[in-house]
Amino acid sequence: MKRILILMIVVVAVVLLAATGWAAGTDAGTLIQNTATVTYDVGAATNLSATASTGFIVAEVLIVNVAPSVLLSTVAVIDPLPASDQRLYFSVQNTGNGSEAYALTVSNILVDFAPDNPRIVIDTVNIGSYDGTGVGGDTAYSGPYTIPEDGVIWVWVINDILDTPLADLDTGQSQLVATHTYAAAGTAPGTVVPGQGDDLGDGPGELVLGPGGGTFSDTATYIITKTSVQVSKSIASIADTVSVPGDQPLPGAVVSYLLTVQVLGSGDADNVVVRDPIPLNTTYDPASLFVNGSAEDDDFNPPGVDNSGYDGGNDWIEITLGTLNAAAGAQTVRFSVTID
Amino acid sequence: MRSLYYLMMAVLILIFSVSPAIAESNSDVSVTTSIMREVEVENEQGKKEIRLENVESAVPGEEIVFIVTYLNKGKLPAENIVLTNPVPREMIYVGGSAGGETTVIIFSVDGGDTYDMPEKLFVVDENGERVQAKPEDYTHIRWRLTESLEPEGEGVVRFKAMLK
Repeated sequence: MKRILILMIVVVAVVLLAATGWAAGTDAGTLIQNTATVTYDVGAATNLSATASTGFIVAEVLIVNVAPSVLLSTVAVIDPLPASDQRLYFSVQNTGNGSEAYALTVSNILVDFAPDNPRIVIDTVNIGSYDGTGVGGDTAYSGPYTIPEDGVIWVWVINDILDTPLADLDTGQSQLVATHTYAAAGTAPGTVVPGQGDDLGDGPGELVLGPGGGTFSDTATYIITKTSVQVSKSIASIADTVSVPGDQPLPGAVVSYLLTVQVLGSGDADNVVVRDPIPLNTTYDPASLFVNGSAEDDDFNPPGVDNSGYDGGNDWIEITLGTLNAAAGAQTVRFSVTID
Repeated sequence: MRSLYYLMMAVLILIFSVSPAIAESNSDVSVTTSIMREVEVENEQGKKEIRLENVESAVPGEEIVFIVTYLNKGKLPAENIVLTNPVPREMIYVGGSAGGETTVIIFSVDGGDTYDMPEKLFVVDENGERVQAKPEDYTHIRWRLTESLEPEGEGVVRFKAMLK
């Protein structure tokens, strides 16, 4: 019994080392043979020799690396909720030295919220592109999946985010778990299973459970993104043609307007376009348009490049600001009109 | 077919590892090899010490100790004794681990064609440049005994290698 304990300690240390230092390593079940030869002379007899060999079997190590994709380890969920079919993406790589089958499960973790209705889809074709469950190479997970040594499978974990009161930047997590057949509850890392040491447990050598005891997992995060665009408009100045007492401007007075556009929240607002109709009984003052302090010409030439100006057909100003976020700060638009 | 393969493997294991292998010839000098691992245990005084245990299976990344024992069973002294041990192809020699009393230890990096001291061994790297060989480049280890071996005389040499 003591010998087994010692062996387990040694194996755990080596397995932990192997987990970081090696990929698959030598195939499980390989016979490693060592041969020593001695040559010598005795009296007049020269170049006499003798040889001896001995060997050992390479045990199988169960190690799987579960990891969220770098690009999809944190996924923004755009408000409003509910948001269905929100996808995370994981890789499950067999870094052990034998082909083995692993069961995949999802455990959703409550942080500010718990993702709901987890589904697992194996991505086999067009890696990294989700075509829809059952479409193309995206196959709904249906049971333990065999991964060859050094092999990797790509997995979509899909959840719904329910309609609950959530704030900007609230998070919920989803954990993908890969479990080997021998990872019964409480099975310790380094546990040695005799007679299972090759592909799918049919080899003559030993099977050694890796760190985690044959259960491997990692977590990815959903983050709520609430974004709003705030627009305000004010009269910056009124310049009358004549100076007379009273609050109301006279025909011919020039009214200068200031628009302020501000994005609130953690996300981006895409395709932000500001249109402001010229008030009735006023006329847009040519060349009066300024965006963020810089003069903006009135035309839309060249088309598709200059997307800001005065649209005489619709009698409005149109300013394309594109993608904005809170860090971009307030965007200002100034223009003036003359009272008819 | 697969079961036949494993049966053959099992037989090989029995042949090679149940007891240290002994040369079958009628040579004056015999050689045996053993495969061991170092394990840390507590002795009866509660102190930790390193002991060697037989290895029947090992995991990738594990360091293995190879022990080669030689014995002169003849009635005359044996001269010019040279022990040679290829590093198993699936393993990497652990630098500085080769030992043996009254021996000169040299290595090969060309599959056993030539041997020399470590500082005189060179290989061509991936850039095509000739560079000093590293322990992982060694393919064979050779021990030259500096003394003759009297009848009934014996000795031990050893080295470590890591399973890829």
